[in-house]
Amino acid sequence: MKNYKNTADTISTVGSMMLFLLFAVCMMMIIAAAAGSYSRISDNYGTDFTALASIRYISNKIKSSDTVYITDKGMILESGAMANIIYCSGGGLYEKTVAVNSEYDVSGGEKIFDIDGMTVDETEELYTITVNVSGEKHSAIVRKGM
Amino acid sequence: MNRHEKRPLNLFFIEIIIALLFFSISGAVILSVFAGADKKSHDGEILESVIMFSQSVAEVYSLNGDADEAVRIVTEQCGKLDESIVLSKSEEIEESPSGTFSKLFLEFKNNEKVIYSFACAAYIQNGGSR
Repeated sequence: MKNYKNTADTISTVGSMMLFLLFAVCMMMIIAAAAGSYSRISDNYGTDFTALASIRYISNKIKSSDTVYITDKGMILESGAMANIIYCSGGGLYEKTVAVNSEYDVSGGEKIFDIDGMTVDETEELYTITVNVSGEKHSAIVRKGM
Repeated sequence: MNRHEKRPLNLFFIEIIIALLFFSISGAVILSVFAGADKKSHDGEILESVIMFSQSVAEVYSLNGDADEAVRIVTEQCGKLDESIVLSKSEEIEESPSGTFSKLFLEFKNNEKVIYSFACAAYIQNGGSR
């Protein structure tokens, strides 16, 4: 009888532990899924925000400037006596303000956004702005002077 | 006597099962909430791309006053929208001696549900200037 009791106790204990193990594994899976989901949402939000904000920033600069020059390294936006040089370097979008007709070099600017690349193309009064953020390309077309 | 000794273990077992059931239901609810958040994030991403697309269309449309051409140019240069998005457009054109005033209405649907609608206008003078 004592053996039977001991066996029953052992089975109950093992069963309880197995249930707890199952519970712990399920909780770990739920936590992993939740963390993955949160990480994905956070990354998407960060990427979209950076891309859209940088596109809007550049498009507003284009619209408000008098003259736009597109160079290999970036773009020069002249407005009155001031010129803004916007360029992408080392994983960031930089802006530098200088006087018109001074030396336009792409260094020493202030970092605005963390982006991997930027291209601006001009076709018939329309500027196509493309920014590359975390491997994703976002583009928009803007018309100057509107 | 024997039955009295076994009862506490059975009760403990039942208690564990009830606790696990409760936590399992809580886990299921949490998972569904996260799945919903994930879907909302995806929908937000689509909406942002749709807004950017329609603004680009408006910029091009203000230049040429041609809806089909504007959509074609934006699709070529900015890329296609998500495949689940259906774009419908309508145009109102008013001719006048000095030029043509046209309005463009864009409507974006996702799974038969309107997610964004947009209106813009263009005025093309007879000489061709905007």
